[in-house]
Amino acid sequence: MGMLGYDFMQRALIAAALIGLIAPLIGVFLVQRRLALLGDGMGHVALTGVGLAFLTGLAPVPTALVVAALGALVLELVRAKSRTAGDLALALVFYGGIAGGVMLTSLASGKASTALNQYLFGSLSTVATEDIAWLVGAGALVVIILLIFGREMFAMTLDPDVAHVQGIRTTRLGILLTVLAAVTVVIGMRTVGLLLVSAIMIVPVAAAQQFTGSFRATALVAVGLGLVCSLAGLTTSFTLDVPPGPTIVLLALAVFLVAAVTAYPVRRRRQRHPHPAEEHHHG
Amino acid sequence: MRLPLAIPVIAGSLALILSACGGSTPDGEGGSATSGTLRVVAGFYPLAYAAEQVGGDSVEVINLTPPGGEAHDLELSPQQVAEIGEADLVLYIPGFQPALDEAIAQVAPDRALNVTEALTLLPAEDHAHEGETSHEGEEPHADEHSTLDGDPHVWLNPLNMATIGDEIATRLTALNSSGAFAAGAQALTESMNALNEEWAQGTAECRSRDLVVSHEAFGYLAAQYDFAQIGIAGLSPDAEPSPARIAEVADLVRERGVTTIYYETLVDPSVAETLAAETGATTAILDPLEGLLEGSTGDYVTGMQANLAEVRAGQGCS
Repeated sequence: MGMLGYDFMQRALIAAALIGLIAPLIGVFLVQRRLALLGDGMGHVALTGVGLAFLTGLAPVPTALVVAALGALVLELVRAKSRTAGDLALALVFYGGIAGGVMLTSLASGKASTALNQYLFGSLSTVATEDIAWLVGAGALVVIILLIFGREMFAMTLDPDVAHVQGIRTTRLGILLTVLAAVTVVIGMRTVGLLLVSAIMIVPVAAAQQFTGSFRATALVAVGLGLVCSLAGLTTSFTLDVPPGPTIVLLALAVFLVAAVTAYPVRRRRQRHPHPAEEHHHG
Repeated sequence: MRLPLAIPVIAGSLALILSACGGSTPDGEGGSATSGTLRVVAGFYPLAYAAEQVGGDSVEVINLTPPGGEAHDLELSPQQVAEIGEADLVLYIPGFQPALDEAIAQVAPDRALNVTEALTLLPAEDHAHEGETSHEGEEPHADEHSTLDGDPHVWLNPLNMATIGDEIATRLTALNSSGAFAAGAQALTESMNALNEEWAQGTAECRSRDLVVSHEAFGYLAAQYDFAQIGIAGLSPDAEPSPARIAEVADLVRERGVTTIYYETLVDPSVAETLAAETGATTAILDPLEGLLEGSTGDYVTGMQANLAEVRAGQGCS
């Protein structure tokens, strides 16, 4: 029987396509803001949420969502208020998240900390119909927020100071963006796995940046690459009998490598003669 | 062989030294050698059960895996490492719980019993090579601290449990010759023989002999009662299953008319559920008994009887 003859593969393909489309849309902003590791970080903050759920008897996944969103809020406040660099703020929240998760879980009636895994880590192989509903919900949220605030968010990621002077509320916008990313990561890790969602946010963007100049072009190319890598990777994984998550990520990295190598001469020429048409006016 | 006699002396003096060092240990005074109660630390539930049955009141058994915890992923607290250091006997399966292997190498290399030593191991098969199961069980390595060269889930055959009980009795008798350990081992053997008989009769006539499980923990059980184990994931419950493997098992389930897919108590059921939804089969719980659930009042025997009921229903046994 062919790949499409199996219901679970149909669901896996839909989920792969959705994550391939949604994740790079968020990722292009994260890369611009130097928060490329946010996906992994928020995934680990979600551990604290599950630990808290064990301790209090709340439902694990919604608690993880709320705690990851709060973690994103703390991250933005640390960044904005204490003049801490983005990667440092991320590291603080990230490590706090892991330690909190393991500690809370061990306090909760002697559960092994690895009991966290089954609540948090999904796989494309086992996507359920309700998982697809969650992904569609996350995707709709991302698209709606980007349609409303995308232009301002672009201004903010490009230069927060200038954006601030132009009257854009950069702190609030930053919080919105990071919370959106956190929600996407938690839903993605639950349905398709943490490795896949956090990598597919970033790697296609890195590849697209190699040969695109504008933010908009990078975003569009990244989404295209994300979609193609997800579907091609899943198909490859089915053919070769290997797990889908790592296959997709390695394929995306291969695309990045090819893009970086082929675009290298182009970029070198650009760097030597930046914007030759403008040189007359300003030079 | 004079060596076994030296073990209690070494163990006793080590226990004294360690309890002397740890002044806060509640029962540090006296030490286990003089109080008459032997302290046995077991890596996870079935080993603890065997030790309790053999030792009765003459042993204090500590199970390192908490209820509801996954035995494979054991992490040891400093207190637990201290308990291992103070134990008279540590029961383990090499490679099954890496944290315990390390602790034994550090604090109790001479007091550990690899319970698989007297057993014939089944090969640890890779799920990709289903059907090539004809090779003979391999002997375990002499090196106690290396990983196990075979499938570690030995306790799911009751007769293996009886053998493990005998091994434990031999070691406990060497530590304290006045204990009634041989009688305890005899009682365990009898109850395990009865359980084996119950399983053998209960599964003699079944509609399907293909046992589809989410992870391959049931090799010894399948071999003992003439089932073919078909695992979706391999021996480790954490591995991400490949879509091709799920498709392969789904085809097999349809082809052979399997109606029940078993998943485990402590592991995420999503793989079994995916396969069940794919094929129209139902899911049922088969407990690998690596640990008891929180608040469980049962024991190894009732757990195996519950498994028997599930298998009889799922495989259509008459």
